[in-house]
Amino acid sequence: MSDGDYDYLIKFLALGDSGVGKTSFLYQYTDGKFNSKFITTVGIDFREKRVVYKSTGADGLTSKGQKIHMQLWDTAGQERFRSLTTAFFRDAMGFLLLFDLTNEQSFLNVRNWMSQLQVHAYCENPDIVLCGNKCDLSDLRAVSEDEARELAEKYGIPYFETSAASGHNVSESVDVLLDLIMKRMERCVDKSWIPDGTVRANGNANADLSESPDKSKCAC
Amino acid sequence: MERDSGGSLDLSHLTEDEQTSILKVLQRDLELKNLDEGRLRNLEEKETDPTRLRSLSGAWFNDERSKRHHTWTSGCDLVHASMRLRKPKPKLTEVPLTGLFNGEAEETKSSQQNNISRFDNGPNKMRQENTTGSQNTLKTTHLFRTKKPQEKVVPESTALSKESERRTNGSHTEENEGIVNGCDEDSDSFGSCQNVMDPDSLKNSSSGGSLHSSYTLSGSMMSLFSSGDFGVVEVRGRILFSLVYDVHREELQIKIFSCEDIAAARKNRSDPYVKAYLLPDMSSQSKKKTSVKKNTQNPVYDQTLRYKMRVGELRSRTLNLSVWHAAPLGRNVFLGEVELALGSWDWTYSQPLWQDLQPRVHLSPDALSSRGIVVLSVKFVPEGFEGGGMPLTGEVHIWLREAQGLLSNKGGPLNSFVRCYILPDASRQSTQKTRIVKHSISPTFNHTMVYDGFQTSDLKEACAELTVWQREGLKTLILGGIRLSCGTGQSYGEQIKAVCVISVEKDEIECLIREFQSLLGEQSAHGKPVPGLDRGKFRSVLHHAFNMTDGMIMDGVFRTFDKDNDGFLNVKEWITGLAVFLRGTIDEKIKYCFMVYDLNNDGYISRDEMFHLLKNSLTSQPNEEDPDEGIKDLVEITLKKMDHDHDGKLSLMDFYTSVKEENLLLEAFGPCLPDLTAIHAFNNRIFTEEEEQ
Repeated sequence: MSDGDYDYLIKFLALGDSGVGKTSFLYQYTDGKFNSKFITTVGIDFREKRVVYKSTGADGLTSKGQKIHMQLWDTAGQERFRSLTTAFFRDAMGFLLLFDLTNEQSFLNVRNWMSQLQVHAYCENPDIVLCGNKCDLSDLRAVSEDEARELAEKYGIPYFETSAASGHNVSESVDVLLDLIMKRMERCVDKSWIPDGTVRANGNANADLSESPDKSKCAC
Repeated sequence: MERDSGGSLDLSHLTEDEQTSILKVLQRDLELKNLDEGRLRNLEEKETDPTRLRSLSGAWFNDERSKRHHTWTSGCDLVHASMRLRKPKPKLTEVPLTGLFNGEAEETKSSQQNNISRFDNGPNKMRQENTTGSQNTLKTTHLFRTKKPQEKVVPESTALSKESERRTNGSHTEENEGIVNGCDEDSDSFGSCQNVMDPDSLKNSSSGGSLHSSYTLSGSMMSLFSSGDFGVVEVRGRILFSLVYDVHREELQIKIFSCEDIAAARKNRSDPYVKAYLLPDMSSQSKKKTSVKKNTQNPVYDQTLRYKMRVGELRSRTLNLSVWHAAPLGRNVFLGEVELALGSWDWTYSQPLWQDLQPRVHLSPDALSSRGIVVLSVKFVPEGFEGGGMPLTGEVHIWLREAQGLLSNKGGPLNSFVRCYILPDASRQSTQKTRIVKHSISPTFNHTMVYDGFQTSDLKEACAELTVWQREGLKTLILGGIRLSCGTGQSYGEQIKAVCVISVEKDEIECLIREFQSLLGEQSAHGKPVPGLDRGKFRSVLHHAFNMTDGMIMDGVFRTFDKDNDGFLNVKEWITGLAVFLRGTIDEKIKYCFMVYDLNNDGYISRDEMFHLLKNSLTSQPNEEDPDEGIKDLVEITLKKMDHDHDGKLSLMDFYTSVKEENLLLEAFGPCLPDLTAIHAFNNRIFTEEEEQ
């Protein structure tokens, strides 16, 4: 993995309250393993993984597999590292917002994390996937699936019930986020590169070049 | 849009280990970035489609991000930069008071320590010991400063005159920087030393800058937030320097290039030089200086200061570069400093670096003339005093309670013990020593040394010497010591303070006694005998003669006068108390103020005590929602400034060091000393009558 043989470098960041399982989630994703011991993250850390991404374009054709080198930032949830971790938000292309299904407060704090993202991320509406982690601990569940979905819908983001321990929905949620990023990237790249008034040559039907790019959003 | 988060983050609340871990992560990120850059270079050559290039290279993301704010540095760079350099402290004169609260409060929350005040039974026990027994016993309690034994005790005046000769070539002989005090030596020194401090200046509210304060600060508190007007100038400007470590020579080379826009020390002029220390070593070996450049506020030095030191050792040091104005008589003026923790310094960075000069918040090595304080009490039990023929001979008891604020060469906690012997004792057979107390800068020994075979008459000749030692591995190093002896003029059978010389003349004593008796007369209207001035009467004296109004402070003053703690001031307590109150040396006054502020008399000024005192001495606006919050913040700021041993409370040593460094802090917690006008009025009233006789 230490060679430059990949097509895209994609950076994600996991955030959420202390103890919700961000480190375990990422470890499960990259290594397929789970460690139940709780070792609080010191400030910031990251893991890497190589994946192959195949998208289905609007024309129905699947594109050739793209090699993705993922850098997955893992932030500390503790308050004292807050100023440090928020500084890294601006470097991430997509976010995994985790909360603990057995801890209601961590769910209530999702709102706060969302507003933090809106302020510190690279744009006002970055790609986020909400994950209710520890779904394997069904006896201890404190947040219902319905209320979590409702919140996710309100923000217009996908929601997954995951378990870093069992691996349930871990790769699925990351894959969805990756897909969102790749699609956004395509839109950004195509639209902003071409000067106004020119018709694109590759015939992508969704282009609408007449609207002026909205500066406050990713101009896609 | 978003506001740029600025040049750097405040990460000073993170521990060394934490910062190291984080830096390691950043290092890994850097490796990945380098890898990606390599890939990009290849890509730029091969990829022909510009659109595809944008997505592959990640330029799409960077462009989107820069739409939000043009000058955003990446998170990694921001954090890296914040850690490499120490957090720049705000220039205190320019920051509004509320701004200070916000910034400081966040820091101190994480460093807040146990808030329970210590209720030490020590001193109270000591007091009770002192009051038992009749007046035949010789009882004293003193706080002595230990002195560096190796240091040549050069009387300050001669050092100063030499200073003016050698000043121009910036050699190492100047010893006195900052505020000179003629009576820096013994705390209970003889005679009435001229008090350098002008009491009036204490009350001046100094340049407050742009303080948007909800509070009215007393004059002395202003020193926390402004530069004061006592020979200290408002710091500004910056210094250009570089750090290079020469591995072959095992040498740190600090190249001092120049300074820009430094403050004018006096009358639009400065003769600056730069001094370096590798803290915490504050000895002369650690001190290095450039030459003095005359009459410039933009001096160019191009000089290199070298320290021979292994890299490992260097990492534990903090480089302190300070700029001073070389003034006549050694009253050099501090013009600013920068401090770099070398442990987190990036040694690959050898470029010249501009650093803004910061106001002094660090312990000045030159202001520190003592290595700590020894707290003890001495008792003499005459032969047969205890009844039944016991003791067989007179005994001298020295109870060594503790030492405070011991400062070794390296700083930090150390292993220490105390040796005591009675002089003249050439054979040193009378040596007694305490056990070694490990890992503490304020070790409690609680050790009584008893020497028998004393005749009372011996006391005149005998002298006890206590020395404080540091144990480091197999080495035993002396830190300092004190000598206790009796002055002349004592007489058996009377309670006498062994070493306490007051600056009151014999004739003046008679005047004070007369005043005392007249006050007593007023107190007891019914002719009943009274043991002394009671608290109420004393308070009314403080109020009428010295315009004191704060009850807490007045009780504190009473407490310092009432040495035997019996609730009454006898004539001796009255006289000795007034001697300090009216004419104390700076050292005596520091001790005095400390005792006034130490409300529960446990040897420390705790957060609670500071809170109560500050609450009394500050007035808040009526529309202030929660004045307590502001005061709590003020307590934290004060603690940060004055708590040198970082134990969450102020010991006498902390207080002493802080005030020596910044005289205006003497009455930081409330005015408890009389102003000049009151002193003059008192003098005129009490002592003039004597002259007429």
